[in-house]
Amino acid sequence: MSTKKLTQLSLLTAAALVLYVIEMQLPTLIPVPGVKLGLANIITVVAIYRFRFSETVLLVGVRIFLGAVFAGGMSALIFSASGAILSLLGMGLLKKIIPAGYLPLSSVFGAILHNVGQVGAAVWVLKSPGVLAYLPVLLVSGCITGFFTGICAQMVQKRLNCEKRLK
Amino acid sequence: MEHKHTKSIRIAAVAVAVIFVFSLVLTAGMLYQSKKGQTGRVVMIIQEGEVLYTFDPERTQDREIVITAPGGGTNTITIREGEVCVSQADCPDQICVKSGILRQEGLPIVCLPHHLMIQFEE
Repeated sequence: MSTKKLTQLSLLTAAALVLYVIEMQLPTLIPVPGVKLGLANIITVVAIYRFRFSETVLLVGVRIFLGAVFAGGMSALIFSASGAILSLLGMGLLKKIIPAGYLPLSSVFGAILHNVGQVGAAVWVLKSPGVLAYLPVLLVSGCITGFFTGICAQMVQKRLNCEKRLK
Repeated sequence: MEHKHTKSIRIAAVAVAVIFVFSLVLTAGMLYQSKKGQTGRVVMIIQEGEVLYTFDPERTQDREIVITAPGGGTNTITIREGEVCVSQADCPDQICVKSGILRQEGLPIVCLPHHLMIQFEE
């Protein structure tokens, strides 16, 4: 990995981590476990289209681990990790179908898969299928927040591309 | 190529819309059901798949149950006048406390950090 790429990835990881920590400070509006804005995923969506898949996995992996260390606590790690794995795989595959100009669409898919992964992990941890009742609520909120983060990702991408042209 | 892209985008967008509407209908149905309510059902307190307590809140004297999580930490469950809620917890997100009173047919109360779930018997 070149120094330039390493620097870019580190910067984006730091940005994602900052977003994650800021979001932790926001009050929970809807007291449903798993409902959140997912601001850090703005960076994930951008990275999917900007870097190689393995590099994005690295970025997200480091962000999730450090996020748990700084704010989330280790108990949240399994839920964010399982959600992230599914959504990364999904968005990585969809990249071939959805072009870079349609980030909100890709982001919504990512959010949906993230929710599926989260609920799956919750069923596994709680060892009872009762939590499946949360899936529809999470999917509704996930579609909305995923669309929002996708719009943000589109704007970030545009600005990053501007930077490239200036050089 | 351009044409192929627009087609796949359209399929993806439709898929998203279908998932969204389907979830919305399910959620609405659940909320509607939870308003109707029924009485005389059994509440279970479940930790990692193990049922710790079962009781009928209507026929249970007011009391508090303190549950200790396997990894440390506690949730205090209060039963008062036939209603059940988590009144206190030392988990970081406090979502179980903010969930309020357990509603029949509604969503179970979940404390993910403490692997705890409170629900009406299916």
